[in-house]
Formats: sequence, structure tokens, C-alpha cells
Amino acid sequence: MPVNKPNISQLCDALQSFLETELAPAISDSALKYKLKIAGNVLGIIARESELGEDFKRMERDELNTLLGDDGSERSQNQRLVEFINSADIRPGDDDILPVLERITLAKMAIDNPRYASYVKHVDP
Amino acid sequence: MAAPTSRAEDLLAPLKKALSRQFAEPVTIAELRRLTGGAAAQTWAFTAMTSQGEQVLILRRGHDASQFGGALSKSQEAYVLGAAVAAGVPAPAIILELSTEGGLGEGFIMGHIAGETLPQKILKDPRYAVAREKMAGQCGDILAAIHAVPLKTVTGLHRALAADQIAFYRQAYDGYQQALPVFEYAFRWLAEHIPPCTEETLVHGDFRNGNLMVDDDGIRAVLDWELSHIGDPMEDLGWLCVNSWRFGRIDKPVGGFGDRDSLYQAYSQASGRQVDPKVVTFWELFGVLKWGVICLYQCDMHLSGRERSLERVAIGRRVSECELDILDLLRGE
Repeated sequence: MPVNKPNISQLCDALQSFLETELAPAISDSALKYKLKIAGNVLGIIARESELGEDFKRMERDELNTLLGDDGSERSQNQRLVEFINSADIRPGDDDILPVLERITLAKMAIDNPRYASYVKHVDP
Repeated sequence: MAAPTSRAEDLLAPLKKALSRQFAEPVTIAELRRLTGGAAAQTWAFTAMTSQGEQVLILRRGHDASQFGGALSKSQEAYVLGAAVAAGVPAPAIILELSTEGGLGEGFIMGHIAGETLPQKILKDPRYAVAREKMAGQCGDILAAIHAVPLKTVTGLHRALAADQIAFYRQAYDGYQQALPVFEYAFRWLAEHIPPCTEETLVHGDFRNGNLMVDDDGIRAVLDWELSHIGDPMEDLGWLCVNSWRFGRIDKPVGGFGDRDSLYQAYSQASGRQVDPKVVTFWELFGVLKWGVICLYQCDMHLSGRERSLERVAIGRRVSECELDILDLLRGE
């Protein structure tokens, strides 16, 4: 028995419309208008994370499993990745770690800010 | 020191007193208004009327805790600004340094230079089309002038070379308890690729689109000197090119308005120093990482409860922009 409609993204959408079409025109203070814009951006992040968050976690886990393998330890994959990066075994420039970091970063940006110009250039060259 | 007041009516009397003493005649203050600043650091504009006529002046006071990267006190900032103006750098002239007993706290009053500082306007408004064409070259000329400020006129300013700054931001990063693999990679790469600093000069430290006063003809003045220090002059060139300061115009690496050749050529010609693009890239990568750590700091200010703010917490999700910029620079884009 799931939570009832609306889902997170539908709620965010309704809230966004309220902020933009009803609240924004009623505000004349420029500092407040700016904060309202930030609020809208935050809502966008929440909506995108609710849609893409699970897929992101899965792809991150798969990427890091492939890169690091499973050493049976309880340390988080992220912690193991950091240790790997700081280990003497990799040489910046001749490792295969950068493409992995890039794929994960791009997937994060799809949630955080898909309008960032460098991100757009990557996904829609 | 108590937090300085942020009410205009509390500033009027001490301001009038300080300026009347400076100009040796009664000065009237009008149109005092707050321009920018957080709770601590403030910038105000006002009109001062003397027997000689009216002039618009700027008051800078307080200490901005959000500038955590070794920011100068207001009196140190006034000292560096004075030395820069004396050496011919386009920047506002210091009118008066405030003593802490004057009721205004630490700060200074400087001349007002008209123009636009908002990056989005400078990059979009057709009014600045001619200015935009010239600005990369002007940046080269102005940076050469800053880097030529005689070091004996800025004695006491702290020295911060690449290794010092990497260590400083590493320590700050470690304090935020958020393991970011891309940042770890960048810290390691930077530590292993520190270029030799061939000459130590005055470094502005925050020379970027947003701190440049621009009019129809281009750059009129360089503002915000509180991150200045002695270091590698190439640091300023790299910071100017950081993607975050292009405000979306990523095809114009110099501040979103110009190309690298115009900057490097003008700088080389004016300074007599050759620009090694690889050294600028090192500092650009450092700059992205530095901005990323500042974003972590801002977010932490909110999450730790020290200064709750929607703006500060939201900036935490801009860290991934820095991660992408770091990876692009490492790949040589």
C-alpha cells in the first residue's frame, strides 16, 4: 500500500507553480526575489532526485564494483574509492579511474543542475 | 569586538564626525544606503557634501567571515589598495581609514567609481558589447600592473605559495567530513604538479568577473582586495579563467568575455613575463578546487547551525559543478 498521490515530483511541481505564478509577482524586494529563485532551484533538485536518485545509486554501485571489486570489507565504496585514489598504485594520467569519476559526476549533475553549461556540452555536444 | 551595527541611522553621526575631521569643515551626509554584504562585512554608499560640492563615497567596514581563506582586515585591505593605486592600478582611492574608536568599527572610506559589477549584466547587456571585446586584454594589462606593485610598499602582507594554499584548503576540506573522490584526486594531482614559482609578486587573489567595475569602455577599477597576498602571479590568471566566473559563457574562458590569447599576449607584453599555459591551467584547477571548498564551507555554515541560510545550504549542491570542471581540466579540455 504505497503513499497516496501526488508523488514527490508532482508535489514539487505544484509548489513551483505557486512560487512562480502567485508568490513571485507579489514580491518587490530584490533580495527576497533572489531567495525565491534559489527556493525554486532547490525544489528542482528535490524533484529530480526523487525521479533519478535510485537509478543514480545503482549506477554508482555498479561502476565502483567494477572498478574496485569486492574486498569483503565493511568500509563504504566511497571510502574505498578515496583510498584507491590516494594509494601509490595509481598514476594520474595513466589510470582508468577518470572516466568512472566522470560518468558518476555527470549522473550527479543530472540531479543537481542539468542546466550547467559544461554538463549540457557533455550530454548534448 | 561586538558585531557592527547595520542600521543607517546609527552610522550617520560617526560618519559625519569622521569626514568633518578629515576635510576640516562640516560635512553633510545624504543618501546613505547599504550596497552589499553579510551580517559582518558591509559596503555602503553615500553622498558627502562639503563647501567644494558633492561627492559619492563608499564605506567598507567589518570583517567577512565567509571569506575564510585568510582574508585581510579592513585596515590591511586599505593599505594594499593604497599601494596598488599609487602604482597606477585602476582601483578606488582611499579617502580615510577609520579608527576603531570612531564608532564605525574597523573600515575605510574610498572614492566611488561608476560602472557595473554584475557579471550577468556585463556579459549580456548590448551596452557593454564594445567593453567585452577589450576586457581580456585590459585584464592582462591590469594584472601586469598589480604584479608590478613594489613589494616594499606592501610589506607585512602574508606569503601564500601553491603548497601553502593546497595545504590550507586541504585542511579546510578535511574539516567538513565529506569524502569527495574527485576533490581527493585533484588535491593529489595538484600536490604532484606544483610549478616552480619563478617570481613572487603581489597577487590580488580574487581577480574575476564580479570584482571588476565596468563601463562602456571596459574595466574602470578592480575591487575587493581582501584576499590579496604575496605569491605566484600566475594564480591571478588561473582564477580569472575558472569556469564558475564565466557565468555560463563557457566558450569564453577569460571571465566569460574573452579568449586566452588576448589575455596572455597583453599580460606578456605589459609585464615582460612569458605565460606558460600549463602553469595557468594548474592555477585554474586549483581555483576550481578552492571554489569547491568554499562551497563546502558555505553549506557547512548552515548545516552546523552557525548561520542558517537557504542560499548557503543550496550551494552545497553546486559542488558537483566543481567536480565536473576539475575532470574537464584534468582531461585537458
